[in-house]
Amino acid sequence: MIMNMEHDYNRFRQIIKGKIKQNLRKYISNSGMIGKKGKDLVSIPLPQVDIPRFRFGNNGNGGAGQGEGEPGTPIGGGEGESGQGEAGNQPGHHIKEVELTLEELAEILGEELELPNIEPRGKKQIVTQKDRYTGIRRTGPESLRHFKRTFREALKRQVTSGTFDIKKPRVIPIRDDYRYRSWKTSTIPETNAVIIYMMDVSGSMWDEQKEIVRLETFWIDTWLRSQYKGLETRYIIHDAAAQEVDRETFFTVQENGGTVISSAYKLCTQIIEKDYSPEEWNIYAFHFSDGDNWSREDNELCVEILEDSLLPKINLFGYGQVESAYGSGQFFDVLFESLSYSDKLVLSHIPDKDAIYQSIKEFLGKGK
Amino acid sequence: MKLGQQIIKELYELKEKIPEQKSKEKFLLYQTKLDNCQIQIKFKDIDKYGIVFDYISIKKETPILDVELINRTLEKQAELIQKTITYLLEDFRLIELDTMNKRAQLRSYPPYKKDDSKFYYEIVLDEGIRFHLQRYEYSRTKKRYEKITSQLTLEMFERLLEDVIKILGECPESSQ
Repeated sequence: MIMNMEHDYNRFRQIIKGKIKQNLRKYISNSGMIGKKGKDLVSIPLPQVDIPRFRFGNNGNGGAGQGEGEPGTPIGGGEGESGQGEAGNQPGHHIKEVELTLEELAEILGEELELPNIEPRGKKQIVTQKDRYTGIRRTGPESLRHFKRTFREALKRQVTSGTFDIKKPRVIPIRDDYRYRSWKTSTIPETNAVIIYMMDVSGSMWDEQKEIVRLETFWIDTWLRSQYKGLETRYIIHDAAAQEVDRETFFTVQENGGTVISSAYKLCTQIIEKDYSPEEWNIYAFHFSDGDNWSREDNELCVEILEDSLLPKINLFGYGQVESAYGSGQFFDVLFESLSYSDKLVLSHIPDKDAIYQSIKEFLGKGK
Repeated sequence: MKLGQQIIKELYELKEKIPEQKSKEKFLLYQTKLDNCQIQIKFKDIDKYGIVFDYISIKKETPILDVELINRTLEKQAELIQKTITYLLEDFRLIELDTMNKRAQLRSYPPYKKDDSKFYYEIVLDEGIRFHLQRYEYSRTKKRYEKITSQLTLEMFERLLEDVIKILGECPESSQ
């Protein structure tokens, strides 16, 4: 019976996954889903899965016509007149939601976009130590006392010593029976990765553009998390000056300053130099802007920073140029003309939400 | 004679000096100093009805030295432009106020959309003493901006020049 239920459940999950895959393009550009993201689960609104069944037809309402009709006589039609109906009192159709783990979502994303698995670049593997409560000891703090094991020991002792009365089953542990949980420290090799997101928050980046960035980062995050165990994220915003912020600020901050992209690249370089040795970390940087940089000189400076400081240290640098209400600036062309030789640089135009699907494919399709 | 009228007269005179064939082919650059302002207008044509120009650039000769005052001035100027210059193809909105680089950028709001292109004016105010107006077209197909000409009736053009000179002249004192 359990086997059948499990089988049915797995089949149901497969159907759900198939439905999500079919509509992935829609989900990718839909921010409603991200709002429903829990710690490890994502709720996805899914149109009802229809199971075939018999239905009664409208017997009695139709039938063959008789006689000749007058010109203008409506054919068929109901008896009621328009505007006379009353408000319905039945609940409307709710869209069903299914919960998926982020791993499942990443798997669907990978399959649908045909994303190659990432080959970690970090030369050294980081070893992390993890405590696991797998052992039992005779001594330990009371907070770690293992009640089940303690009573089992007491029962064993009472049975062997003949003090256990089956008619009056009372088990009283003594000090010698006490058992405590104990941990073993194990070392686990781990490939670590960091993503540094940078976003232009100057006055020309409006809510619509930030929404696109939010969606892009969600999917990039989801994919990279499925590829790396220890994934860290850092967030940089910039207008004429750059600063590191937390995730919430990253997506909600409103500024109206100018645009100096090099400020963000400088800060990104500093963060990497300070916290992430390229030999130990897989480093990803993504920058989103409308490409309207302050000056030609700053464009040149950005190219210099990328070429000399950033690209040699990272796995991948993704630049996504969104389109503001006024269009899209020249920064994309500047990077393309100067650095397109580098296989670590991925450039993507994201004129609107519909372009996110293709953009994610461009960013993550290299398998770096 | 009013300042705007004087400039229009001089633009006519400049056009008259250039042979007709040549003036049709390329832009003419008008530069003058009037009322403590350097005025530069790159234009294509002017007749008794209107003017076709590439850009208008007006710079006050007296710089503002105090940084805080510059930024207050920029804010004030941007506000005045949004309130006053409402007779062009689109109204203006402050897009960026870059206090670090002492620059404000205003653009048409909303930009005019036609087919896969967007058209808009851009005004850049620098250090509270310089005004620059240019019209742009962004084409989604070409994925790039292009500077395009603006066309105004002489009445609007004159009004625009006078408003801009007034806005540039008023602010440093009034914002203190």
